[in-house]
Amino acid sequence: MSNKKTTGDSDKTNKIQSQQKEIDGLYDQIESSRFDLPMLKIAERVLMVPLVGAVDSVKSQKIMEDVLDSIKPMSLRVVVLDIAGIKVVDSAVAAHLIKIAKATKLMGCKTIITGISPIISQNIVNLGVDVRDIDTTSTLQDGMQKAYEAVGLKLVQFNE
Amino acid sequence: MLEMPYLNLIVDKNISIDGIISRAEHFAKSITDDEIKTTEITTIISELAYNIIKYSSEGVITLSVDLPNSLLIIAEDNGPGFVNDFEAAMQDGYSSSGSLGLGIPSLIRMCDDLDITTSSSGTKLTCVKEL
Repeated sequence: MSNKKTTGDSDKTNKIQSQQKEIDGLYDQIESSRFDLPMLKIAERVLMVPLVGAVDSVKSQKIMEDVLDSIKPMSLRVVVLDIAGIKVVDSAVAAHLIKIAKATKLMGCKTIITGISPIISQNIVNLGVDVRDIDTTSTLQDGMQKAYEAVGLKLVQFNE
Repeated sequence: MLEMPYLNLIVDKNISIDGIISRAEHFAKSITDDEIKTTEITTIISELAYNIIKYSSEGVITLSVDLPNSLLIIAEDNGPGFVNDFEAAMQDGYSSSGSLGLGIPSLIRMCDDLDITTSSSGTKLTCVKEL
């Protein structure tokens, strides 16, 4: 009797484990499908890249390569990276962002990181990341303003 | 008996960090309404998971709410540990792998209590995060 109960329990455990695996697989699928990298040219020599989801080393490598590859053909002077859609900024993500900013700088292109929410900013400080070399703004709008200034453009209000 | 919230995450080279972060975020949201706490918990898990993947082949992260208002996070791996550079690893900016070197120092800042045991056969980090 007790033997039978144990078998039943292990059956249940197996079932739960296989279901858990299935759920994990689905989570992974959702996450990988969520990552896409739109490279938006918003003005002459200005590129905007909105980042969404989770950034890991593979994705960040892709971001860096894609951005660096567009600098020359598009004569980019400014790249705006919007991180408002990034789920977690941990030390690895921060390291990747710094790396991208440094690499573009070497090619004569400035990186502005925008979309830093109060929570993310607090988190970055907790992480202890040195942000002295990075240009950041809280909103994308402010970032765009800086980007336009850097290429000598100005947004003006039309008065009819 | 009351079911205590519990989450078990298996981390190995094949797993996607995104999936782990998603599950951790989902779990954090189920135990706290505080957005900052949710972000911190998710960041801690992400940090732990990256460390396991970076320095070891596989490991397990367990999250459980044992005491009221307190989350216990245990991360265990079977990697080579860091006995020789233990003191250095506690400092900002030290890295044995060329990264920012903020992994453990940031965990110290984000957790309310952190206990580290490391040997050449594995490392165990026990973090307490008040809710």
